[in-house]
Amino acid sequence: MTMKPVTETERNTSPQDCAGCGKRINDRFLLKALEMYWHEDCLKCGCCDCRLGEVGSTLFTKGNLILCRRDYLRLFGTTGYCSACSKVIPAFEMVMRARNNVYHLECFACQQCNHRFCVGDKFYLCDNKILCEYDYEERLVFASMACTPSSLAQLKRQIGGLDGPTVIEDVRKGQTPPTATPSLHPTPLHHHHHTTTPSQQPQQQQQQQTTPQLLQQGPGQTGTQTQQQQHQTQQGSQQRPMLPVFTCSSPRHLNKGTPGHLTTMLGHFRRVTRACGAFRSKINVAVAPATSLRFLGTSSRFQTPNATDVSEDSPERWPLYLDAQATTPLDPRVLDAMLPYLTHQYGNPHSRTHSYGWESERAVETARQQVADLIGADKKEIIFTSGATESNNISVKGVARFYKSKKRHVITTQTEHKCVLDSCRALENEGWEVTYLPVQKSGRISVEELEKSLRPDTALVSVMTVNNEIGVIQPIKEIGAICRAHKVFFHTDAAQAVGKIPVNVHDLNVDLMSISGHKIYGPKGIGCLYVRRRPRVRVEALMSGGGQERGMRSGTVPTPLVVGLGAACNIAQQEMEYDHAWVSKLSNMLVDSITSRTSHIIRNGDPEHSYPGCVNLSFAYVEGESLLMALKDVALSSGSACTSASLEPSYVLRAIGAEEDLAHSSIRFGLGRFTTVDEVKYTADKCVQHVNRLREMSPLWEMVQEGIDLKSIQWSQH
Amino acid sequence: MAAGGRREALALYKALLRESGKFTSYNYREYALRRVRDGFRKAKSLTTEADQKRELEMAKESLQVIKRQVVLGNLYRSPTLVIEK
Repeated sequence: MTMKPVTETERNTSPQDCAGCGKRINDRFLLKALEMYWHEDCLKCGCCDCRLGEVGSTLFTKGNLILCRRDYLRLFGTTGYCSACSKVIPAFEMVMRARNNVYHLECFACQQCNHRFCVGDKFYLCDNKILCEYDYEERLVFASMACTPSSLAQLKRQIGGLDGPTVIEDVRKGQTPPTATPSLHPTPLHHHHHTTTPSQQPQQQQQQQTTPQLLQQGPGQTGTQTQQQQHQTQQGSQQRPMLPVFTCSSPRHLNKGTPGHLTTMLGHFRRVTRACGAFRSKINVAVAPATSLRFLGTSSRFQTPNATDVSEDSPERWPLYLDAQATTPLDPRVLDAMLPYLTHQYGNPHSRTHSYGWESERAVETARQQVADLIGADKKEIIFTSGATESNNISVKGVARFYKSKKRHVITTQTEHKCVLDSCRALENEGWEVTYLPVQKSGRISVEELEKSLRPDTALVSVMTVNNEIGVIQPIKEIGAICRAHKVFFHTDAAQAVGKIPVNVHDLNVDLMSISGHKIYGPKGIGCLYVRRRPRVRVEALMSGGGQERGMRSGTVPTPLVVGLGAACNIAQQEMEYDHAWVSKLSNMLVDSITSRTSHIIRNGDPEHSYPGCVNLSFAYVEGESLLMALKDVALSSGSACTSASLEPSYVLRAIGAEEDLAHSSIRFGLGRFTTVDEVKYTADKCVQHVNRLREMSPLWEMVQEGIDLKSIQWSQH
Repeated sequence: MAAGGRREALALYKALLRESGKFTSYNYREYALRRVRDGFRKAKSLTTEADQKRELEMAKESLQVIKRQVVLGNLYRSPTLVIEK
């Protein structure tokens, strides 16, 4: 950068070339500047094109650029460096000045809490940092805590009871705290001069701390260099040492009211305090814990340590979960697969025009293939629904309504899930005939009876694979063969079976199959229906809409849930053997442990043809509800979740011929992938303990011990 | 098993066990530990190179999954069960 004066215009004696336009100068006068010659008009500012030709005007150069004074200062001039952010402040920008420091307008905020100062705010400079009054006082508190023991003791006493106003005195009395330094008014843009200190400055260096005039229009913009220097020296003389020394005359400064304030203060300034164990122990402060993660509260109210709003019935320690037939926990691998689709990949899989939609569709198709692989189907035969209930509804009602012109008859069993039974009842209202096949004592249906019930106008046979209450596995393969021979559609509700026992739709000759997501460690709210394509099964859609899912189930396919279901099926396929071995081991352990220590235990359901993860035991001479209440440390169920609201014993137990009192005292243990040996042992111990205890209290049990046959008793009428 | 592969497998085994132990949920923790142990025990008897490679890859992926799920479990804590100390 050079500043050179323009030399005088000379008489054009010798011909020269103009440095601006390059032509020969033929005028009488030319300018000479920067060792070059110019036309009078050619020496112009590169920015504003003003003529720099007048003698005496300074021109500024930067590199190859020639600028007039004003433009140069605007572009390259500087007021200095901001004391807060250490960056250059261009010349004409608004600045704040305080105590020999210059700041950007934005930088003039409290550097602790980022509070931008408004008119009337007091601010302090401490160690060349700007602090608002609250932060400043906090600083002082902590600095003084690091001070002499006497002051420490005093502080202890003060902070111990924060109810009243606190006045804290320091050893070094008499020194006044540094007072608020008002900032200076910023430069209005049309003036090109630096800001100056107002003349009011000296008056405000007092204890009263009158409202500093922060953003007022001060007097005179006419700052010359000399005046500036004057004020600066004045400032310098009144500058107090920025020591954390204080005598607060006004109690209101430290009494911000509640201990809560100090609590947050102390918590916030944890790193500032010196280790002072005795002091710290006096203050019960919720200091921020080391792990920031733990500080994040969870949404569940059970996580708060001193929760005052915990309801009475939420337990301190949670029971073990042994109710796998009701629902299963989400496998971590499934959650891991779902999370991208719950966060950033949120596209609608039916959107065809952008990559959000394409990615979602790809995920849905992958999941479809995963589900299809598990049951040995083709992925075109998989339809996603909202759960096994909807799948059952579509199968039963949809098939029946489609073929209602030719067929009139549906066969099902007495132990089906409520949704199938209810759909059949709805069909009955529409004029269909429904046969409810009875089950034998073992829980399985008789295949001969089924064959006998088949009629030429039978549309559908619906038999569930694994019963959710007693765990019995039906002879699906035989039923499928019969149905195929008679050309009747065969639907099976495989919600409890898929992923736990090998299920192949071609081996089993199944035409329709319902799958539920949350029984196989997947998410809730998703299920699937397998609909065979060869020979084609036609289904009338229950949900009308845009024709998604082959027209059988309209509605946007929920990508995260579907991805979860697919992942769950994939995991189930790989882990089926391992899980089956584990669950069998646990089941045998449980049953042996209970039956070896107590007597009169009946297992509902055929032990051979049954899924080991579902154990339904009836405890004779014990009331079922009281046993469940006693076993409150274990999450169990008696009867299925759908029927537990009513007082009636489960219809499934009634169907297998269990006596009334035994049906009432049955407990279902559900074991799954995540159940542990310790949990099973604990459950068995508790069960035995409470059964024995309850039997001790029962007079019926006494009579049984004595050998009286209860059935022969004539109970007297009252 | 090749020497380098054995070392890698051991390192993965230890890492998996360590990460699995960090689950806050009792059921997940016990399952992960058991599954990792049984998985490695079973894979010890594999002979083909391709099989071993496949199992190692699966183990590496599982390690990443476990790490993420441990973090999630710390954010959304499951309550202590009666059976835990």
